[in-house]
Amino acid sequence: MAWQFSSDRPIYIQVSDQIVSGILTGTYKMGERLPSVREFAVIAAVNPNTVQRALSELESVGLVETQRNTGKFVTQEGSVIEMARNKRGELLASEFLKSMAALGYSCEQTISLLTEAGRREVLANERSDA
Amino acid sequence: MLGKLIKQDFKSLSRILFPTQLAILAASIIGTISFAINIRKGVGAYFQNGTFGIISGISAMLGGLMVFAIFASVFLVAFIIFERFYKSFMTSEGYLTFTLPVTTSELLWSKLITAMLWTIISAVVIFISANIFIYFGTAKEGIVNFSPYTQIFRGIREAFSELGGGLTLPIIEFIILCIIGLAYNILHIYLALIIGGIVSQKHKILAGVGFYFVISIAVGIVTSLLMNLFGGAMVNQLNRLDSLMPGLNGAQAFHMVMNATQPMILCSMAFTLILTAGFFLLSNYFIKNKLNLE
Amino acid sequence: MSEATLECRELSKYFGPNAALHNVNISLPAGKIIGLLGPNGSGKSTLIKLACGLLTPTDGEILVCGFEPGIESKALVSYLPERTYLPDWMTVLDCLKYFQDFYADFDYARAISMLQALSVPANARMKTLSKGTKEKVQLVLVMSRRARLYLLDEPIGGVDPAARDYILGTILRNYCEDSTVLISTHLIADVEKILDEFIFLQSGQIVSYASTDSLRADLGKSIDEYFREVFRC
Repeated sequence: MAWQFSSDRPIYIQVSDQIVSGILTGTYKMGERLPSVREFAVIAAVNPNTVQRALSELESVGLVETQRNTGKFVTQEGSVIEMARNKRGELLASEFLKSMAALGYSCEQTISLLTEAGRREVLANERSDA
Repeated sequence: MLGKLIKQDFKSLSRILFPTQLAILAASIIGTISFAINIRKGVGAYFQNGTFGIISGISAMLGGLMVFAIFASVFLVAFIIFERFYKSFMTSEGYLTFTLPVTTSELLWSKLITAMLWTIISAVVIFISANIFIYFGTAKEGIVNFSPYTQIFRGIREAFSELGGGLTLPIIEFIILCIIGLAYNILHIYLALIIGGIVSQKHKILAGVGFYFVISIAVGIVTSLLMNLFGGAMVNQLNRLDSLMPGLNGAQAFHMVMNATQPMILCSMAFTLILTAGFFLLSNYFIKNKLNLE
Repeated sequence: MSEATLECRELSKYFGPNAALHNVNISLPAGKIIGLLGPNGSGKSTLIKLACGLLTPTDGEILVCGFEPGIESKALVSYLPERTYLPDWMTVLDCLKYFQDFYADFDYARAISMLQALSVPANARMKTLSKGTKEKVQLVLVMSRRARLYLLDEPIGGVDPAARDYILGTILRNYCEDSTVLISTHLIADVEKILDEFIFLQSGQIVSYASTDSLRADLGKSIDEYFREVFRC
């Protein structure tokens, strides 16, 4: 199934976001070889040049490395991945707060809602473990 | 590339024409056998009653079938040749034909050469069929009838002994005239189809038929103009010949006529050749520059 | 390879008094997948036919890899017309051999494997195939050539979504840095993700030629949205 894209941002940025998500969720593990540009292009149903640009972006922040003649690999540096995870987490958090504010919730209300939701989640997990 | 085009065009014609030629040979063999049976029993055998009458009746029909098959062959070969030309250049297939990495003149040459080849093949098959019929079918006694052939061969031997080398030139000229004439007629129809296709998008074939006559008329006009200019000289030449004829024997007369008519023969050959080349060049021009696939 | 794959200079094509194309100037680089977009009658098919050598320009010139349309350019161009154009009486295998005969850059093995992937019977006559299958065979033949310029005229026109994905996937799998793919279509949303660049054609003239990324970065719009804006009725 081809990846889904929104229409307002350049596709290469969305492709690199998707690859980062893959790295963060463990789809592409640390040190693992990534699909080639051409393979990515077919999987995502996007232009190979777009994939190339996306991967270059990731290389410039150190998440992806090119090894000559073998292809592109996810970095072995756990610290780089953690930094990316933190950045993504911060982004999601601030977006969430903005969305909630747009619905009329204050910051404190949002935080207490989250705490409540978190407690319910933990309880549900304990029950399914038991 | 031209070789490949010829191979492909020949294959696409053979696909339909080869089986039909086999069918004609088969029909002529059947017709020959039935005619041979009839001829031995005497004409009128098929008027008899009973089983033999029926068999004779069927045999007569089969004989007629052979004649029909030969006529049908001539029409079929012509029809298929021009249908392939039309489809290949002037229907959706044109998108395939005209994007090939070949020149338009190569395309035309291939169509011309394969058309000529198949016409000759068809003529040879008919010739063979006719000979099968004469050789095997017309013998009143025995199996084969060689008498027409003995007469023909005798005539040929006599002609050669009397006229010797003087025969080679007319034979060669005859063959060349046939070949040029064949090319002329094929290209005449090709050109008419092309112009028809350009002029009328909706009724290409009808327009093609129309332009066939237009071209014929145009050629006729040019021919009469030329006859006006040179006809007088020709008539004078022929009259002179006439007056010299009485005192000569067969061989001498033959040689004199051959020599005297050479200029006329060569001129008409050249004229037809020029027209044929003109048809080819015009067709090439129109295909290259004016043909628009819908 | 610094020369443009397709170059048009002051290119015009008139049919009688009607200008199908007027003063078109454009230069397409290698290694890109480019969309030729515009409403019906804007001149897309005319431009493609001129590049194929099926039409001759009324004015100006058109060059394919530096060649005027002729036998050199035809050997470099792989064209997929909108209509079915393979002879009815040929079998699928006959068509493959035909292409192999005339085009030095035809990859026979690739064509066979693509046909197998599509479950197209090699010995079937074209006449017996459905319209969709015929179109697939034509696509396979065109994409099995290692050409410099691929001209695809409405390749996903009347096709179901699964076949559409397959066709776009085939175009992507065949991508080569040395070649240019020009896709003429009006189904912009489906094709947008694979386009590097796009050309807007209106009434025979080029209205826009830009890259997909720059459009999104600068205007925040997809090609589809931009198209609706530019060609609003």
